[in-house]
Amino acid sequence: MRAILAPLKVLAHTVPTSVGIAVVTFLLVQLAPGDAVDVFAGESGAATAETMAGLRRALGLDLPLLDRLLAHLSGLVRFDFGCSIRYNAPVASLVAERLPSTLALMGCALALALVVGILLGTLMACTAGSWLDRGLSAVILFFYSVPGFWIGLMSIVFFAVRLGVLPTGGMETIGGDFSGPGDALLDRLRHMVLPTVSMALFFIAIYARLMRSSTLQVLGLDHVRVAAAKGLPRWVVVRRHVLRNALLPVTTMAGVHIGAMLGGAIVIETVFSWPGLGRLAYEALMSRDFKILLAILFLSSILVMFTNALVDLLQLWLDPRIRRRR
Amino acid sequence: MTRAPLLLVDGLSVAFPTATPVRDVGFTVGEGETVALVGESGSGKSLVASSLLRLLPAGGRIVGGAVRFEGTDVTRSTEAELTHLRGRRIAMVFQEPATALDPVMTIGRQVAEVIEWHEGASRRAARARAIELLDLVRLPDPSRRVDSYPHELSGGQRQRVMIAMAIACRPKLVVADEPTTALDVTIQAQVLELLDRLRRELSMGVLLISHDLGVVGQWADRVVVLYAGRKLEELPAERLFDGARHPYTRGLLAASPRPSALGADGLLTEIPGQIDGADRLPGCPFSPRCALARPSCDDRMPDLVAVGPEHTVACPVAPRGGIADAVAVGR
Amino acid sequence: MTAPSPSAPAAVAETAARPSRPTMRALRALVGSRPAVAGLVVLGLVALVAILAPFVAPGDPLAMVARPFVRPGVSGAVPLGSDALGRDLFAGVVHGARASLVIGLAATVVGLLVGTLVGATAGYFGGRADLVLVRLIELFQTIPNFVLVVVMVAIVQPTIVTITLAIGIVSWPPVARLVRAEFRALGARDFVLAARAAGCGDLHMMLREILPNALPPVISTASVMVASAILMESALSFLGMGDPNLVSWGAMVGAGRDSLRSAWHVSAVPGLAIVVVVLALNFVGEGLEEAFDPRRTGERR
Repeated sequence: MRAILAPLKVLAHTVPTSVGIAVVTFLLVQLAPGDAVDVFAGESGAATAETMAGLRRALGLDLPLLDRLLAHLSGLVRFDFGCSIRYNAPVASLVAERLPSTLALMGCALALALVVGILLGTLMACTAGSWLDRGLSAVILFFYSVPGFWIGLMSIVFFAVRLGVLPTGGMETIGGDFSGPGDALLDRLRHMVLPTVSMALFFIAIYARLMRSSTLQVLGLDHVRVAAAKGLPRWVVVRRHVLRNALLPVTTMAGVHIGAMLGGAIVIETVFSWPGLGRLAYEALMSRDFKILLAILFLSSILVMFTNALVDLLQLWLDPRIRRRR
Repeated sequence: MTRAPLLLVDGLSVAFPTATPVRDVGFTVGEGETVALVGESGSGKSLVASSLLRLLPAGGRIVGGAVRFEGTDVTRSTEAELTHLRGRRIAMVFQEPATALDPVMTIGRQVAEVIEWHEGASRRAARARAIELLDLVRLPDPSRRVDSYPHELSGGQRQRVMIAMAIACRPKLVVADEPTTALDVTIQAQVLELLDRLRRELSMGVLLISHDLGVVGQWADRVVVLYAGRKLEELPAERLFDGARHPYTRGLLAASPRPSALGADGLLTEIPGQIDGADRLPGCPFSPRCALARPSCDDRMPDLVAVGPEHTVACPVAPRGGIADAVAVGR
Repeated sequence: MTAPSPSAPAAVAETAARPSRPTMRALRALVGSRPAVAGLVVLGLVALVAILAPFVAPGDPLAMVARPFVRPGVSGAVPLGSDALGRDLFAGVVHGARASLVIGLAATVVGLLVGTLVGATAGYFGGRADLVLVRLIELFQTIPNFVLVVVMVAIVQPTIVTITLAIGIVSWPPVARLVRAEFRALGARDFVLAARAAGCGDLHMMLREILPNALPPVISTASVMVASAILMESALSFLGMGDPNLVSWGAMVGAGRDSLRSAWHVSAVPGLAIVVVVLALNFVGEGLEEAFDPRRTGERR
């Protein structure tokens, strides 16, 4: 029974949050200068006040705030974000088209950050106070302090321009002549290296720091001494009895990190001309296409929300004590 | 005794950067024998226990003496040798069953893990052994409980699991560090009974660490009294209540007239003063609280002197028994 | 247990007395931390340069003063080189420090004020107010910070004020969480209960009794907040969403993008300035964290 109820509770928790997100995006729409009719009037060049008022009536823009809010909500539920002026296409399809490449980039960056960060953090905790720990701490604080766009640009200068070993940007070699699907994949991977690493550095720092402090905490617990008294060598103790306990607090913030990563995607994709949501956001920014921006904001918030739900479920699995409590 | 004892601790000293909380402690544990280390908080008894497995808290070091177990000096063992010693030849039962088990691993895995590691048993075989062991420590319904997590068990049940873990590889010595302090009085007796039964069945030596003289008098063969990192007295347990010589041991006993009524706590408050800082004194650490202390007590630590069969006392002013020609033993 | 436990007596010694000493002790610990002191020195120098910018680098930093793409260390007139339009990179870095520091500090103040207000209200009153405010905090932690900043600034037009407010608006939730937790913990302590028994009003309780004791952990996050605000501002202006009337490090890095192949120093120099300042702030933040709570070794949320 519990096994079913707990995930349901987690899902139920997302409802008020998504309504909140929708309301925030609605408020932002209200803040935006001019509505669709102004845009139309601007594009047609000639429109009287009367025709504009008529259009507003027809589009429901003269309705009270609450009705417009409801209309906004129902649009979001259907993933209907309206039409983009610049691309002359439905915003939803523009976003859907770009989403996979952003998810691929983020997925790789997150995986890299988790693996490296957790390894480094554990290593630092196990050697706490040593020169290795101090050296790594300094490197990680550097990663924590470097703006992603700058490290991206500098890595282009070094690896793409100076050494010429990696491409400067884009997702594939344009007009590339590949002998087989393997080559095409390799080409794609080569294009992913720099953006992935540039994006991951900050999160490597975050996870290493989180992991270091939570591992230090777990290392001081009684059951770790017991495990050592059993005769398990240190690395087995760490792997079996420390890691899983230490991972719990690290996973709790994953939602916030996904959010930060989506923000980072705007900058990184711009630097590397990566054709994803972030790049789309930048292009929308340049042409002041608010509908696209709001759709991206809404979607990325929903993504964070689902990550949070996923983390809750993951913790149910990681920690038997929560299973019991719920 | 002609045969070498199972465990021989000789002149053991443990130091931290700012203190030396264990100084020159020595005792033996024979096969199938229960020896109790007695003392209040800060006496160094848990540090002595940790030293046997070289599991001192961070910053702690063995700075002197030897710990001979089955003839080899543990203080000189390499880390690799220690992993074969720990859990297999010497096992430990800790005080706090609530935190001593890994909260995110089933108890069965935690017991089986020892067997897998030391005996190379397969996962399935180890699990079967774990169920047997849980049955041996009288955990109810072991074949179902094997998949429980620690938080699903009561304190007494967790301590049974701890004991199952400790005896999994049939160790020669079990070090039980306050194994019942965190438990209810009725559960205490059950757990100690269990430990004693296993000692007999597996002919293990047991080093029982406790501050509870009632427990010690009932379950131990010999008693070693520690105070502020020094050994003050050693005597057979059956003589504890009427033959103790050292003013400190007597003070402990005097706090409660009947051994069965000795509480777990509170009995030490009857002796005025406190233990803090006593480990820095050059002489007898107990002298500031001792009613019989002379000025000479503060000059140097008195030698341990034999005053009866298996009975030594480190106190020159202790009331004399019938033995006239006391012989200095050790230092 | 006989193992020495150095922290135990201190924890036990806390009585009904108001704990006021920790701040002084923390400051002394901070001064004792070498990285933190180094960070403070660097920040002091940068602040000095920012204040004295008109004297350190006189004239309009956006004016053409040299040939384009002079490399650093070649010309004494433009020690850090010049960009595509022949503007002095040194002057840009000096004047850019103003925008970064002002926006970083002001946005942090906004975040601290909002966060403290929300957190204190939620933690002090509890009940329904707490429920609603916690939901609000959760909501703002769900919406990706930087994306929200970008959208807000794009909608209301980038000026130094809107950028500051936008960054401030996204940076309050962690403060609110922290303050709420402190208020909940402190609200049950003896000295607070004593004040309540003496008939002190809610406002007095919140401002005079609890807040001063809740502040240390908040202060220790402030430095890191400034760092992340500066990073956000630089990313924003890198994307061309900065205040167009200000010299900004991020915008300078962005301007150098086009000439990355031929003159990468145009992007490298202002970027280094960002790294130095943010690194210094994080060093100070780390020192503050350890000074205020020695048990927490580098955890950051």
